[in-house]
Amino acid sequence: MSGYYKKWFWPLALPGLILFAAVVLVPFLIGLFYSFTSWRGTYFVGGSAWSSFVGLDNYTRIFQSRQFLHALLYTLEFTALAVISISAAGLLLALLLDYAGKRVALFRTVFFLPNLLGGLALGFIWQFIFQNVFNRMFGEGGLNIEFLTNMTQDSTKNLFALVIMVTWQMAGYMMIIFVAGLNNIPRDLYEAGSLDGANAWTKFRYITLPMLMPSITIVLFLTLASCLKLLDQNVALTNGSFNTSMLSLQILRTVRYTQPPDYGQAQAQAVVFFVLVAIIGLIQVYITKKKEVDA
Amino acid sequence: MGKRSTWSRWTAGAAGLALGAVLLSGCGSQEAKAPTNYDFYIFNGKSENAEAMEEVVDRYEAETGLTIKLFSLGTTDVAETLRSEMNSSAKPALFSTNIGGVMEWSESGAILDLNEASNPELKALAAEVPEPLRLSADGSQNYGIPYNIEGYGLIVDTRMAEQLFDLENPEPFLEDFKAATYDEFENLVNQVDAYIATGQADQVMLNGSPYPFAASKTELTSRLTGVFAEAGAEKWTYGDHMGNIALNAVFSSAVDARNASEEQVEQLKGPLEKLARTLDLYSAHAAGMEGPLERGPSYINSTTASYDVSVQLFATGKALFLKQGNWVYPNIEKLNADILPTLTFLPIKLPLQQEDIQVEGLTVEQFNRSVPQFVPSYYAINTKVTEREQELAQQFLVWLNTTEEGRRTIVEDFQFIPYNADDSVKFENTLNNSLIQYQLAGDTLSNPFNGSPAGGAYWGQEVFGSILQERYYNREGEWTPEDYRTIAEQSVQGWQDVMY
Repeated sequence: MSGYYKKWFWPLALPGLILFAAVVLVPFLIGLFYSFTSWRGTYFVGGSAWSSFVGLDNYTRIFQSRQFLHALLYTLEFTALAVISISAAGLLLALLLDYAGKRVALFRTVFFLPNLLGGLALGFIWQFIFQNVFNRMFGEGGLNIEFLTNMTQDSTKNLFALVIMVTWQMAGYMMIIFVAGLNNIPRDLYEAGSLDGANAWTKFRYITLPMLMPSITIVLFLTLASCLKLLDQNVALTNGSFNTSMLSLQILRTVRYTQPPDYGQAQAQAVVFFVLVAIIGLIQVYITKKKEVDA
Repeated sequence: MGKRSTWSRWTAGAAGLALGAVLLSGCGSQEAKAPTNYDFYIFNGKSENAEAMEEVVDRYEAETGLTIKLFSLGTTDVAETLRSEMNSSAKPALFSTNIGGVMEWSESGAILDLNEASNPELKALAAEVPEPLRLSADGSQNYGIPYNIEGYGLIVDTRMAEQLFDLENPEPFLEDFKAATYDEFENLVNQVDAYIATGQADQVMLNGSPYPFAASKTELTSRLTGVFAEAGAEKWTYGDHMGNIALNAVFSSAVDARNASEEQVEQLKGPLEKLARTLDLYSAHAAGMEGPLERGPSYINSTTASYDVSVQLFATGKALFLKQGNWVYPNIEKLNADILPTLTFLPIKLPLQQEDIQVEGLTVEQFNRSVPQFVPSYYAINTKVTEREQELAQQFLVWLNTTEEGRRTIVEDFQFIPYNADDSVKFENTLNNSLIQYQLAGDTLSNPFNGSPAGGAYWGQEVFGSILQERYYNREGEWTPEDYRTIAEQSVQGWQDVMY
């Protein structure tokens, strides 16, 4: 088998590598270069790339931009809340299904369904829910919970509206990963635990959680990355109104809010964004990997 | 370890490749090459005339034997698409742009100054474009031929006015309304509001003439739930278009606003404060589906206060005025075609004092009887294509704007108001006709909002529009003169923040 891989490695890997280089690596490096210039989308100010070289100007301006810093903070707040909420909801659903067994297999599909909707469609559906259904359910004459009314019209409330929506969307997917992880835990561990007098919580804490760490690594990585990069739902739900722009939307808007369009500046924001996502992602994988145990 | 060194060799290789690509894209000289499968390429950035343009191009092709590539697109993302086309190897020779895009193309040198057009007829045509309608970066150039004229104001169904005031002929009323002062207008709004609520109101004075209300409501006037059809969810309707009214007190054109001095921006405070007072009046007398629409969360709700809802409110007779432009005509047609023949524009008035107005020669009276009219799009020539393509594109423009067939096309097929319309131009579209009347009378304002930071996309909507929507329209209760001042000051601050 290893001989096969040795012989065929390059012919098999090459198409993928070329594709990756063409659509990811090369554009990424070109973009990196643009972030040091006054690139305007179709031309360089001053005529050529070298004459429009501005050094670190685009980067220093990022950190003077109130809009960018606000979007950065908002993104981090959202991600922290959403990652916890999605993972917890996903785990809870998985435990429920695991407990109820095969009789409720249908629910596995039902819980997964929201994940099949596109972000934009989802955003518009939930916009309607937040503006009409929630307002009636939780408004005056209803349950009278002020916090859950007009959720899209306030920067703080919207943060939670977005978390509710994204949890509804992604929890089902994470549930599937957790269900697979739960299925891989040998039942005799629980038996042994029971014999030693462990209660349900102790078993969860000392058997399920440690054995589930590989799944948790994946779930956290997926949720972290997708929450940090969230765009469609943000656009569809509030489109940045009430200071609710997240980083992706902020980068997209930069070229619209500048004339001529400042693609160099937007590109620099994108580079900072990439570095941020990469660092957070790597730290998370490093930490959770360390906690994984072998069965 | 072997694996690692292969990997690093690969990264090095890929990095080299990428660097090569960077160098190529950055420094590669882009010599214009003649296209092989067409003679020239038209990028039409307006969806309204997409179909008609196709027919026109077909006719032109048959007449001249040329092959033309036509691409029409008219969404908010048209700028991005145009950019990628301008970057491609098949560049448009004729493209559409406007005051928002012109900085980009003049800085890159892609747009031809028609003062230097190689085609003498086009040069002459461009020279005839009236000064205030010209497309330029700093006022000295003349970059484009206008597509058409658009305008907006308070749209009113004259039958509604007739029945409110028991008029036999609406003309004197309309004339008096145009000449009326802001205070007279404000009183009219309050009295109409009282009449809607109780069926009784004091007579109103317009331009000094009395207009008593009809003794009892008719079927039509009893439908009214408010004075104005407002779209609180859509920031452009007030951020851009109402904001523009105030900007007209300081700037005479979009180019003027683009090159604004700090002093001029400071001078906006007065007009913006007066505008805030006007917006208070409008939003406090808004029509809703069942009754008046109050300010508060539902006032900016996108499912109940959208553009479509506001048009529907007006088309179904629930509001007396709709502040919109002539582009709304097809939408009204779909909802209630019966009112189309009796639609007309009335001016938007502001409670200005003469010292608020900085534009030379503009009086408060003139300001309050005028409606904004402007060119939304221009045809421009791309200098980055071959001489032949440029020449062909210029010939097409000359044909479209000077020949009888071309000019008929603009009016009949495109349904566009020509920038050089005379009183012989008549439309079925009553709103277009109304705009032409204002144009011929010289009662027009301009579009300085297109010259505000990022052409309105930023200042109009994200600064001025956001302040209104997120801090005032969304809460219940009265606005105070202090609020008016705050709105004006923060909007000016938002402009100053991005001046460079």
